[in-house]
Amino acid sequence: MCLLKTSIWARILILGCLIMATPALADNATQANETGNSVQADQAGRAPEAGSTESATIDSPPSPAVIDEAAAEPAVAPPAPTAPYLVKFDQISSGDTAWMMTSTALVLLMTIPGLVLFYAGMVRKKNVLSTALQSFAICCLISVIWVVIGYSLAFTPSDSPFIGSLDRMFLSGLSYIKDTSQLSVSHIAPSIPESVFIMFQMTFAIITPALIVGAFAERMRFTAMLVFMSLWSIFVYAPVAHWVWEPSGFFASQGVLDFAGGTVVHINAGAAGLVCAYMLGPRSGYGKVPFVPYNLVYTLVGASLLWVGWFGFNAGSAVAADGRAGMAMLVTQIATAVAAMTWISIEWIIKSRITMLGCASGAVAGLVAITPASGFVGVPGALAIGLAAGVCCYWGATGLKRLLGADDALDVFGIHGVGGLVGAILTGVFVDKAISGAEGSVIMQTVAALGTLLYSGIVTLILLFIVDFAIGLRVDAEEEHDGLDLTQHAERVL
Amino acid sequence: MSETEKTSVAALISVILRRKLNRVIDVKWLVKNQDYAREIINISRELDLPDLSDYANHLESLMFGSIQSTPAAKPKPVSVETPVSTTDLADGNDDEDDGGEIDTSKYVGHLR
Repeated sequence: MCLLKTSIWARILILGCLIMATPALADNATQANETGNSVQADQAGRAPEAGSTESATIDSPPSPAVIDEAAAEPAVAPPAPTAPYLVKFDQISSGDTAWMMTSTALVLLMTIPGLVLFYAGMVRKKNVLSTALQSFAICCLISVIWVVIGYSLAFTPSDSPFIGSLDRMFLSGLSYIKDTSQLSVSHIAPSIPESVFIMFQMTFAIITPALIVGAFAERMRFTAMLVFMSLWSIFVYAPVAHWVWEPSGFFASQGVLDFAGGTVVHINAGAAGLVCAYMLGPRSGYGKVPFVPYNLVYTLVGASLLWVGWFGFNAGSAVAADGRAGMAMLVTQIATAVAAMTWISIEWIIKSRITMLGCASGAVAGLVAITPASGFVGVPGALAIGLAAGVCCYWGATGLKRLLGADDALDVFGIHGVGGLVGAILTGVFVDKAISGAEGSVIMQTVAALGTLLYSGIVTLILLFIVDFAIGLRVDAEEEHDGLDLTQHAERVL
Repeated sequence: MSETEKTSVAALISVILRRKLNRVIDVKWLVKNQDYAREIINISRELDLPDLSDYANHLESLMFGSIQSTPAAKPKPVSVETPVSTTDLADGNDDEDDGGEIDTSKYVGHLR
């Protein structure tokens, strides 16, 4: 019965995608060359170097319509592109492309195996495989959804500042033409092939839902998880990415700064995680019996992989191999180290001992908090953000967790939600105009952070109700007792 | 026979015993200690559950080479031979081997 319901949902989704794709495929050629309003990538924090933008715009082959206008009014400069377009091979920066391909691999490394190990080490032995599999399966699932519809919804300009167009479904317009030495580039990253930009953004789309897994660990049905993540990626991740990162998006056009995803990734995932924890309810025995983590060495290895991968996440978000990427890398290292030291200092003061899990958690908290700020702040900002992240996320995973009363199993909200909020707001405080040319507003940063928190929370709640009605979210008590590894997957760690 | 195969069958017996009798056994100890294994095999047969009996026979053949109709050795009290940790009883981890040295109470209600 459940399988039947899942199948019906899947068919509805695929049918909807196909219907919406039809006009997109027809308009493919026109859209690929379209130009329009000026790029506002600086406000989104993802601006390419000024020189490269200019070069790509001037030298890019315009569409026939643009050629006609240019002939009639030769004095008018063509507007900066706001949609993907074709350029010659020699307009692509090999340095930027090499760095972005490396960054893409690094960000993927954060999910598989970084997050897989980080989470698997913290759950009980009977749920290790299921927890690991959930992140791995999300990687496969979101890769497909991203190319079918996610990228188009997130990064295609549309008439609405809240959601992208469906014109790029199935990556319509993505081109690499050897005969004419042309390839498509994104208007957000004109110095690298669009294929690389799509892949880079895909890894962000993968890790965000994978982070949520930690909140409902050890009790969600695998099929329900897959359906929920599919819907969440389309109805929550893609719109929020559009608001914040697409230059015509609602928050980007208001000057909200989010360099690498403090709002899009961490606040978004944190809010969804908290709602999941409430909706699924606590694990059987929660608060009464100890839930001993399987192997914290896995968690430390996972945290270390996250740390290394985060250089791709943050420095890669410069979309160029340049000085700003270098600054992003430096402040990432500093904030992470400070947050870890802060966390273990608090542990020492309060509990008179320092734990490995605390040190790893502090490092992740620092990584989360510096994410939105990494291309905007200098060393003093990084020190302050690291310190604040250590204090606030420690409270988020302990005091706030008790206050909220939800069984957020692996503290997704306590670390990613709280860390994301701290980072987003402090980005407005410590933004350095000399580094990015951008000016921040604490009020706008706060509005964007809280707006995302609310949107993600509400839509996640609706999606969970739908999935619960259609499939059922939670395993039964007996299955939970025996562990998801055996009962959901017929496998077991020996 | 491989340790992995023995442990797999022992784990299956462990799950059924816990479901039917609410009895927690130590899987690692089961594949290491022959006396404990015989005791568990006997208990499994006495329950007269088809699957459990099959698993018991399979485990016996893996551990002792052939299926024996009677206990081969004097059974010892399970409570003496089975180092079941408080953790195992509490959260359902049936083959942890923490030696009882870890203060698991710190994991009640939170991880960090």
